[in-house]
Amino acid sequence: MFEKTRNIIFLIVLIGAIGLFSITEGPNFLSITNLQSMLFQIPEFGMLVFAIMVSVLTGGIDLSIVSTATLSGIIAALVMIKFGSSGSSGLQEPVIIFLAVLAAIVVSVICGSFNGILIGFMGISPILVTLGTSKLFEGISLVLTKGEALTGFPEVFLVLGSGTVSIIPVPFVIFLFFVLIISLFLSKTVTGFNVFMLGVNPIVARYSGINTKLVLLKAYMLSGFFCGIAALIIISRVNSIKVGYGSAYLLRALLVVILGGVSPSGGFGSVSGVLLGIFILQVISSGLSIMGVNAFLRNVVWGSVLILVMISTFLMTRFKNFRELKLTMK
Amino acid sequence: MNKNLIKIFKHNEIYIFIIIGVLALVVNSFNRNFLTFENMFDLLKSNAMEAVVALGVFVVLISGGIDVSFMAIATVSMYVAVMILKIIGGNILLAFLIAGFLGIILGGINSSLISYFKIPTLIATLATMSIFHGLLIGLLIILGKSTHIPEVPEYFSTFKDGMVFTLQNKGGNEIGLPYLVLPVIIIYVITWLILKYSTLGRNIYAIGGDIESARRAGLNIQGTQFFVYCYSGFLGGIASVLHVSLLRYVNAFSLVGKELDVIAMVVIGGAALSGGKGSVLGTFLGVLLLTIIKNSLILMGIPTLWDSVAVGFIIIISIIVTKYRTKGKELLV
Repeated sequence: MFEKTRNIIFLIVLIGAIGLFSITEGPNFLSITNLQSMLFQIPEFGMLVFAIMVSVLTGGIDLSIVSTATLSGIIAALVMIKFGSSGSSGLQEPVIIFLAVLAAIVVSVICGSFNGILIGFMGISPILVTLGTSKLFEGISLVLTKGEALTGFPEVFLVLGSGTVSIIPVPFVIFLFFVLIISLFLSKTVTGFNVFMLGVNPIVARYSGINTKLVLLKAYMLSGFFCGIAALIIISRVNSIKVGYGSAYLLRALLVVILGGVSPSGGFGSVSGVLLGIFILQVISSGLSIMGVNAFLRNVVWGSVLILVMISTFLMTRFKNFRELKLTMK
Repeated sequence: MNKNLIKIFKHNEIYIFIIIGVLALVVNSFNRNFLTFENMFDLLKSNAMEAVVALGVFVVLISGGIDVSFMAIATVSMYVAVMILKIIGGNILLAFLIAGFLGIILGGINSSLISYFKIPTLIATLATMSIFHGLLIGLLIILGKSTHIPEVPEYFSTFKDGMVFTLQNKGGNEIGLPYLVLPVIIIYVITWLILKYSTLGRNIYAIGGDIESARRAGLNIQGTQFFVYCYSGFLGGIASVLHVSLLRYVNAFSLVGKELDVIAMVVIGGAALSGGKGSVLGTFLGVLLLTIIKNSLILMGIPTLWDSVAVGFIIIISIIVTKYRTKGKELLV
């Protein structure tokens, strides 16, 4: 019930934002180019958002999403470059692409498992673990690329990130598919349910017989998996990969997750809220960028919005407690 | 064997000390230049900034929180301070004062958000990091100004080159304890005194240990947290002056992105994120260890490309080790 209200508010905000930018920037904003470009940018960012969402739901956080994605993308890129047309293997293109996709997914899930083992089985704080692993993955990425960009992927592969199905971008379709996946995971599977239980109260969850260690492992593996998909979308969209891509995405992803109604301490949240958050953020981001606001000031906006959201949550809880107190005093 | 000697081995710090010792000997066998006074003093100078800022991170970590905005605070403090100083002249002491003051103000913003509005520390500092740095660069871009200040007042260089006392080494060169190291020593001593001998210090450990117990014991949580983040900001400001001295110019991008390296130093030193554990000595040893590792990588000819891998790897090893040392004392979960 609370969720439905929030979703309606978000819908209004979304429409309002679109309206606002349409009025102030008119043709620039409402052009097919811009709308399509937004639909192109949403998938990669959205996948990262859902990656971090899973970890936040468990009461932790995965700060390594960008590094995991970067590393997976680099591995996929290396596969395509080494075995591809410039390479000298006899493999055909579809096979190479399949191997690259597989490589990205495998790498990203391994990264996620690494996090999951340290957090779930060793019980180390997620913040510290993912800070460490993000540095480690970034380091490995740097060594593999020597800091330079990797580029030159097969045409067919690029369809993944830059092709369209009539006017709808291919990656957006892929994205919607995964939104469905995560929605089903969280609402219909046992592990998904356990994720929420774990987030609300890990101790009670464990005493209820939930294998919390395994749930955490799976949650971070899923997070990794989504990062891998994000990586594939990114590299097929820009036809290159370099350490440092997407570094701004972390703060924005966290913002969207919290904005979308996921509690920072875990246990509560919904895919629909987060999805709307993603759209709102993309609209505002594109709108601001069209208005000429530079990337740094946009970051200021995101930081400020995050703080405002947290403050208003705080005030609302205060207000709610106050009202309850008044009621009990009657 | 005497009881006190055995007690020493219970502390994290001795292991780090041993590791440092072993590492130093190993590196020295690769490169004779390592264990020289010159190299040692150079090491101290080059990591003076990180050493100071690490203490800020450390204090925050003990209190059970985390601050990732310290580099952003340092960047803003140093840029604004140098801008002001170029206009009004001044001296190095004034630089420290202005930068420190700016640091306190920015840290105070963090404090308010965390202690009053109860925003989770990671989220709050992640947000303020973007806001502080974003505002600085964003406004500079709009105003058309450069994000670099290439010419800084003379006294920054003299501060860097000056020495407290000088000796002549074998090559006939002058070497001595650099001025740069003095603020570091002073800050470390002050912080140690605060943490060990004042109520404030004990409160910080208490809050980090278990905030609910601290609340029920009647400790002033808001005030303590307010101090902690202001102090972190203050140290960020001070450290930024050291940074400017070393580099002799201001680059608004040189610090942001190095947060993890500093956090690694603190974590290696034995501070647990859960709070309530850690020591100033441990932090210092952590700073030293990481600096030596980086320096030794360079001396052994390993390209700096591998630095991040090394740092990340070390962070992970350290947190695993710290976890296993405290394992027995935790509640069953």
